[in-house]
Amino acid sequence: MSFLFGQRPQPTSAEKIAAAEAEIEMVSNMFNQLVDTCARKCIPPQYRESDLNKGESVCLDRCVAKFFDVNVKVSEKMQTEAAQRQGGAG
Amino acid sequence: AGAASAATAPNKKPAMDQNPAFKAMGLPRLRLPSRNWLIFLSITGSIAGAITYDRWQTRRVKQKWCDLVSHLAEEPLSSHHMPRRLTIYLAAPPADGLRSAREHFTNYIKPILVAGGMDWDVVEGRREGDVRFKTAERVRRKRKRGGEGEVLSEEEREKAFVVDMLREKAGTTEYPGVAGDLVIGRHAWKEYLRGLHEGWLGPPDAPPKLEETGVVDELDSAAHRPGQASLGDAAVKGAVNVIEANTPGSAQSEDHPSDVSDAQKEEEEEKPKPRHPPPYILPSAYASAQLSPSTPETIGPSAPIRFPHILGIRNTPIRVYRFLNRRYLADAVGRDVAAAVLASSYRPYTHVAQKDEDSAPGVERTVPEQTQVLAHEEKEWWKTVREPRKEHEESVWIEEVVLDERLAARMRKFELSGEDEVRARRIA
Repeated sequence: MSFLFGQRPQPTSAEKIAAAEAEIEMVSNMFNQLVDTCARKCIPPQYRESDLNKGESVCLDRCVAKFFDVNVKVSEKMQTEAAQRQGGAG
Repeated sequence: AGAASAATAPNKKPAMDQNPAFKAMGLPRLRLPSRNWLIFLSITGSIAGAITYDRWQTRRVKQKWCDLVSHLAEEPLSSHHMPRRLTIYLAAPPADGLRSAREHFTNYIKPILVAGGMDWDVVEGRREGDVRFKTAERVRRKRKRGGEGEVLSEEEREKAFVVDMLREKAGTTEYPGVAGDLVIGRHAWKEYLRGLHEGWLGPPDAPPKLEETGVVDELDSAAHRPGQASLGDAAVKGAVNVIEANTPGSAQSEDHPSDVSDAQKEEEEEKPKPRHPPPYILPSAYASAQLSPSTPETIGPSAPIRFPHILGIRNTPIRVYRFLNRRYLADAVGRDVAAAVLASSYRPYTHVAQKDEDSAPGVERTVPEQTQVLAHEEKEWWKTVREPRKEHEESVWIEEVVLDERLAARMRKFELSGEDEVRARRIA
């Protein structure tokens, strides 16, 4: 993303490591949040049996799909705003 | 009694003002409102009462059907299986938008699907012909997945069937049971049948000649287009123009000179193009076509569902009547959807007597049931449906249903078994 404008120097290995760490953290954050949210919304707190039943499975499918949808939309919006700000400032 | 005595009170002594029975009970002097108020309140009261009663009953009826299927949602499902998936065929009714169809679906059909823990796929159609094309595409995709058609290299297969490949690798299997199709409305039903036939009887890959759409013959520039959508059926007699000349030509279209002048190209860009490629096979060619070897023994049990839809200001009394009696519609639709969700029994389509006013009394033709399914809805379609179509539009709705025996014999219909009916009546 930062390589768009002109010739920037290649990222050093330290920067690459930092970028990779940030990405891992982001992904694991997202995963944890996803599991928490969908479990809270779809699985009622009475645990009468250990298997997921059909209603819950279907609900989880939909919850995950919506989560990713929301994620994608929000990040697109943020990117366009950032680009606008950069375009406006630069 | 109180009112009568109150009305005649001015002529009597004040001592007879109050009904002695009410007085004994301690009730004050009750009076009815005036005549005008009575009229107003009775009219508004009856309208409000009718609406409220109908709403309450629809809610109860929907709840009844939901309760009938709710035991399915509590069955366990292993994470390696996908939930059972129904395919919903939803098309915008003639002269209206998709929103009305979607509302019908959300109001009457979706609650029962949700209560039964079902997953579903919606095949939507905004214009005539969308559902036909999408249905045919789905069938062709299934066939290609099974290995028919042109052989793709491994990478191309991966790209085309990404999701399926991932599922195979992860070991998730489809639901071990029957899937199903819910078709909403007669218009969608006709397109569904046409799409099924096109998918199973037509070629799995696009015929090569058809890819040259848009090449216009210099001599016949008056709307002579090779391989366009089927317009040669007798039903569309109004469309008397050059298009009829090339009806059987979609599968074997003639070669046209590919030198197109610039003026022709411009003219062609202004004319609206058909939304989808023309059908890979026409109804007239069904009998001579070869059925795909991978056709299943039963073509996914289907459940046609009523979709009453009527337009026009002169139909307002009918629409008001329907609005105040939505409980019956909810019951009928709920029964059909519950039959599809429970999937306890399905029967093949039979032959029924055709209800036709034209035929002489006493002479009853039996026709395949699929042609008569939801036939009463055709009368409600808005009159623009019967107008001749333009070039780029399809005309599936006004054409007769053409069935191929091989496919028609494989179709099944969902039915509510006897025990389910008994249970439903007990819940109600």
